[in-house]
Amino acid sequence: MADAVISAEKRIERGSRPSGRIRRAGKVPAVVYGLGSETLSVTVSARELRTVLASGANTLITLQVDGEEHLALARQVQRHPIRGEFVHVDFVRVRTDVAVAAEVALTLTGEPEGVRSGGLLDQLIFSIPIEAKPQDIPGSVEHDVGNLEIGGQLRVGELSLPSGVATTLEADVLVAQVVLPRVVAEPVDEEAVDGEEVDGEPATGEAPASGSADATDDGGSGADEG
Amino acid sequence: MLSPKKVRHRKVQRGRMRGEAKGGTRVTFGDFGIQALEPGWITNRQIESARIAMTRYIKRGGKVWINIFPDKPITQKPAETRMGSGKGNPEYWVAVVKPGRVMFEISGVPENLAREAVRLAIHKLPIKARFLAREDLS
Repeated sequence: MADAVISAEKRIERGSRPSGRIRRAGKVPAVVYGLGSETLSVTVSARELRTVLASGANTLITLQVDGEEHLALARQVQRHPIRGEFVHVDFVRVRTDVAVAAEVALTLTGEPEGVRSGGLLDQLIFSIPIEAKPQDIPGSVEHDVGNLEIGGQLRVGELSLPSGVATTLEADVLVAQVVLPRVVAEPVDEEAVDGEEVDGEPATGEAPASGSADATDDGGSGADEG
Repeated sequence: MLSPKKVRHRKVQRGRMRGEAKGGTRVTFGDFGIQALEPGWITNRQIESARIAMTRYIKRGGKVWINIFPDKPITQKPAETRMGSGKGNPEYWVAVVKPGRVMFEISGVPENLAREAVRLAIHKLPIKARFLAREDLS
């Protein structure tokens, strides 16, 4: 992976208000730690960081802090949920001869045979945790799924990883499968109900269940196929 | 329509929606998503309506995830009632959404189809929202 250089300044002020001032000045508060050395609070240029991370999340970075050089990887890149600006970055010091843990994007290429015959490719894992020496970390792991038929499954053990790279996932973990799409037949009268829904007048019969027992059901995500 | 099976308290206070969502701000299950840009209450009818708008547009193929759940009961007093006599009756359920929250996700369809499905679904929601694609690590 390409080596990049970022110049950083030591940061003395800490806390949310000084950090806000740093961000408004086009910089990003960051911290450097690892390899048993002391933890350093630094600031880096947001523009430089964006350029470096655009070439890959696992780009090996040489941090120049007051004349010292630290070989590091960016970890825990915090971004603003809407604006996408960097909020804070952790830099973990690494050594070129010691393997480190990293997360690498998993890209499936090719159109599976099952999809051509009406199936749906369901990818369950989009990145895989790996262990490798910093310079051996690949930008992404690609796998051709062109020969997957309906009902076919791809497991972690079948992925071809570059030499010197090992995954920490079990070999039988499911990565992707081709499934038949479930077509939900909607009753005709539901259409009339939908039309009224948007205007939002709650029907009197729609009052919430007046349950008073314990335990609130949070039920975060529901999946539905169309 | 989505609603809790059991609740600890039948009626709750309204609460505030300050700040941004602190989690669920990225597309994690599918390829594309709908991200809230404003805070708001999304009713279970609006969630269902948005889901139907998406699934109808993408027809067969594709998968839709709903990442929010309406677990907050909203009460209303009957019309032409004098003030007092306690809090009104629970009428419907809402999900509290803050800016940045990815509310729906979609996968298995090309981007142009997903964009149009998302556009139709956003029209069913009471807040500003936008189309969001999965962030790649590479």
